[in-house]
Formats: sequence, structure tokens, C-alpha cells
Amino acid sequence: MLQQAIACFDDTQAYKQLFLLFYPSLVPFAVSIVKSKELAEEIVSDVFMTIWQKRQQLDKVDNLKFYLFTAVKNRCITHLNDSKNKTAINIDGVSVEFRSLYHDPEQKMISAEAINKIRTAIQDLPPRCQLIFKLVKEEGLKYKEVAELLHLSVKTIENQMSIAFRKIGTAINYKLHHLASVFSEN
Amino acid sequence: MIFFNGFRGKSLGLMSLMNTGTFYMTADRFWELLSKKISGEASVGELNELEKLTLDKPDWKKTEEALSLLWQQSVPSLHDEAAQAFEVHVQKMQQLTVGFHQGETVHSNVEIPGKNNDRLRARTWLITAVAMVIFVAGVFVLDRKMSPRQKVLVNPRPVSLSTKSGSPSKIQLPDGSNVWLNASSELTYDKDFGKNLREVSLTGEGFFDVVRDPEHPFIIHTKVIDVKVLGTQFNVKAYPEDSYTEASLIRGSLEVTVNNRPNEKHFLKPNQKVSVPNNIDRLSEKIGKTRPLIVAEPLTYYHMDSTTIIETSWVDNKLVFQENETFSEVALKMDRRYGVHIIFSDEEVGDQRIYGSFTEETIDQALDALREVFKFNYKKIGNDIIITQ
Repeated sequence: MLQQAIACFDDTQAYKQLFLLFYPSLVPFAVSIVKSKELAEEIVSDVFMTIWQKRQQLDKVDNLKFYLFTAVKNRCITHLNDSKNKTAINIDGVSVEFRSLYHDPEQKMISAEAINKIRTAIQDLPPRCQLIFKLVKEEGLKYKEVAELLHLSVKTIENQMSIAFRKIGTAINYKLHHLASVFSEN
Repeated sequence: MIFFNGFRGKSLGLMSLMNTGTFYMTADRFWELLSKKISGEASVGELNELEKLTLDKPDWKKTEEALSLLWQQSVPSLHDEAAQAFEVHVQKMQQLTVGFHQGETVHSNVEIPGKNNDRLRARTWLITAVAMVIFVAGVFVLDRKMSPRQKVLVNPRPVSLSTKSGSPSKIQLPDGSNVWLNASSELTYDKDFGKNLREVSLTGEGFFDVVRDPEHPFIIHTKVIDVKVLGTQFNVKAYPEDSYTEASLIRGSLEVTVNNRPNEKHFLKPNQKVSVPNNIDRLSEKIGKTRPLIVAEPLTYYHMDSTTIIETSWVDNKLVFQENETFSEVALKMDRRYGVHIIFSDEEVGDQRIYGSFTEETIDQALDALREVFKFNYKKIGNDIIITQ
């Protein structure tokens, strides 16, 4: 819909919304591949420029979010001069930031303490596992899409996701007694 | 895979189970299934397996609830940072003389008198579109503390999600409930979804996995029935071109009321369904509004493999048809599944009965399999498939 607005109406406002919507997700993703914030910002900006230049074809794109992630990935790989190397992307050495892990006072079910436990549990995961978890949780990508982006198999994504869930689930497990009492009040 | 005249082959469903070839410890399997469920990647079979696995394990159930809550925490928007980056981006585009003039559309250079209304309408449409994309993109991009500029996007009109023919898709509602929307279907809900009731309207078919919340009943409105639940798994099929509207319950409990027939109220148990004729208003005129017309029936299991429930098989991308279905009824299902339009130039072909299932097959493979049985010819013109003797 947004992309149709850009494609059909040359709408700069819609373009801006698209930028605001995806820029904050695409830059950290690019950072995890090229390991440089400046380079990542430049790459994402370049991708958005191409989007504007080719806006007439934009309504032919089926899955815009995945398209953007793929375009960013491809450009990152070109920058790394690594386009022939189709093995898994090396994402070591960069910490993955999670934006959705904060304590929300209105959300009484998960305490600040539990959030800290969860943060620690995630930080202890290997970087690749963290990135996969972030792409699924915060960017809402499908396993299949993450697999394609990172040149991994869907089975690997499934495994990495269950490892992440196990670690987080186990970390907050002692909290469950507290949770149980909250639920039984209902 | 097509079965005909009692030919018995291996069931696809069982084969795919065996193909995994791995036996898990229960806990390993629990984490795998749980991560899939919460990420929205689990099939209906896997959801049921998880349900069975956690049945007598309240601790696991609590873990599931806590992780679902964590999953629903929204991602705070980095609007200001992104807006700054956008200004830099626009400067760069202008330096590189990429034609981009902020604040006006290229088309608006040509002013046509009397066209203002159209432009206003286009703008309203655009705001709707923007709001929808943000919604479809998911709860994770919406922030509770929205900046005033973003508030402009909030749409007073209902949110409407629709699928084309041939493309079922999965949606997560604001309360965390999952809906698989079959091809050619539309689901609509108001912005205040979940405040008092969780109300949606459905045309077409959806499989619902509703998060339990007794204080906010979940109601699905269709043209002829309303379905009310508290938290459960069920399928609702309400295609206007079908003869029946159906509600099928997998687990939990479910209440069906038939519009304009106050006495027609049904409480379903798991593995039951009701089928309500779409012309029930006309039937009502004949027999009166008081006597109940409809009885609950059991769900139909595919007789080649006792684990496949026909009513919900589409969620796993299976097209299953039973022994008593005619080719023309199957063709209607194939229309939706493959996004085609099958036309019979010879009705005799369409009257023949068949049973079987398609899973991975393309439309060409499916037609070829059917041809093995029925000896017909077909012609493809665009999306139309014309079947001749």
C-alpha cells in the first residue's frame, strides 16, 4: 500500500514514512555484516535512493520488508568484495542490540528483574544466534526469510531459535512462581 | 497425490513425519515447538503437539505465557534519529541530483481545477494505506509513546486485511491471537479492538488461534453467523460463493449464533462443526424462525490418514477432498488454492467423483494427476483453465 503510494503517486511523504519505518531496523542489520556504523548508514541510504529511483517498479515487489533486507545484505556483501562467497555471513564481533527488552511498568507480568535476567541470557548467546533471534522477534521476519538472508538452512534457524528460547525460558523460570500467583488472581 | 477407485498409497502426512527421522527428548521438542509457536512458524499439527506436551505441565504452560508476553513487547520507535537520518539522506539525494522534492508530489505541479477533491481523497487513502502498512508490518514497530507526528497516522476507519486468490497468509492480531487467512478472504477489525470486546468481521475463511482472555470475548461476525469464543482454536469458513458457512472447533469451546434467528444458538465441543446454509433467510421464511435448523456434526477426518482434519487442512497447505466430492467442487477449492479459474465446458467431466489430496503439487502437476484419472483436455488462457472432453 505504502509502496503503491510511492510508485503511483511519486509521494514523497509516503517515501519518508517508509524510510522512518525501516531505517532503524536496516542500519543495525547492515552493521552486523560490515561492522561499521558509518558504512552501514551509507549502504542503507544508497538502498533507499535506489528505491526512489526505481519507484515505478515498486508495486511489483511482493514483500517489501524482505526486499529491503535483501537489498541491504547484497550491497553489504558487494562492499565486502565477497559476493562470490555464498557461505554463511560472518557476523561475529558485533553486539546485537535489542530494542524491545525494557521494563514496562504497565506490564506487570514481567518484572524489571526478569527483564535483566532475559538481557543477560541473550547476551550470553552466540552473536549469530542473537542476530537470528532479533530478526525474528524485532523485525518480524519469517524463518525462511532469515535463512535466505544469512545463507543458512531453515533447520538451522529453527535450532537457533529453540536454543534462544530455551536460554531465555530457563533464565526466567524461577520467576514463574511469582507469575503463577498473578495469574491465579484473575 | 490422487487416489482413485480404492487405490491406496502412502499418506503424505505420515511420510513427512517419518522423514524428520529424529527422536527428540521431550524438553528439546518443547523448546522447538514453543519457539515456533511464538514466532508464528508452527503448523496446526505442531500447535496441537505442543498443547498435548504441556497438558499436565503447568510450569511449561507458565513459561509459554511469560515468553508470549515478552514477545508482544513493542519495539520503541527511533523516530527522531530516523528523521535526522532522513534529512541527511534527502540532502545526499539532491546533491546527486536525484529528482526528489520534499513536501509536494511530482504530479501536483500540474494543477487541474476541480481536482482538489480527488487529491484530498488520494491523501486520505494514503494515510489509510500508511496506517495499514504499519499494522501489517506488525505490532513491533508501534510504540505506545507515539510522537505527535505519528499520531496523524492513526486511522479512525477499521483495519482491513485481505488475501488474493492463491495466497493464504498469517496475521497476528493486537492481542497476540494468530489468524491464518485463506485465499480470497478479508478480515476487518476496528481500531479499538480489544478495549471491550475483541471483534472482527470475516469474509472467506480463517483459522483462528485465539489467546485466552475471559474478560474480552472474541467475536467473529460473518454474513450469516456470529462465532463467540474466549480462547481456543477453530476454523470459520464464510465464502459468499459457497452454499454453506461453517464453524469447526479444534479445541476449547465455541458459541455460534445465526443472524436473524435468535433461537438458533449452538455450543460446540471440540471436534464438532456446524454448517449453516447461506440462504438461511429464505429458508426461515418457509419454516419460521423458531425451530432450530442446524445440528452440530463431527469434523471429517481424511480416511487415508487419520490425523488430517479436512476442515483445517488448508492451513498446512494441503488440499484434501473426500470420496463424495465432485470434480467441480474440487475445482472450486483449486481456484482458491492456485489463484486460477477452472471452467468446465463439458459438465459431465465435472460431475465425476474423486478423492485425494494435493500438497506440494503445482497447478500443472495437479491437473496432470487429475487427467490420469478423468481423461480430459485443458487449455490455459491467462488465469482461466478451460476443461474439455
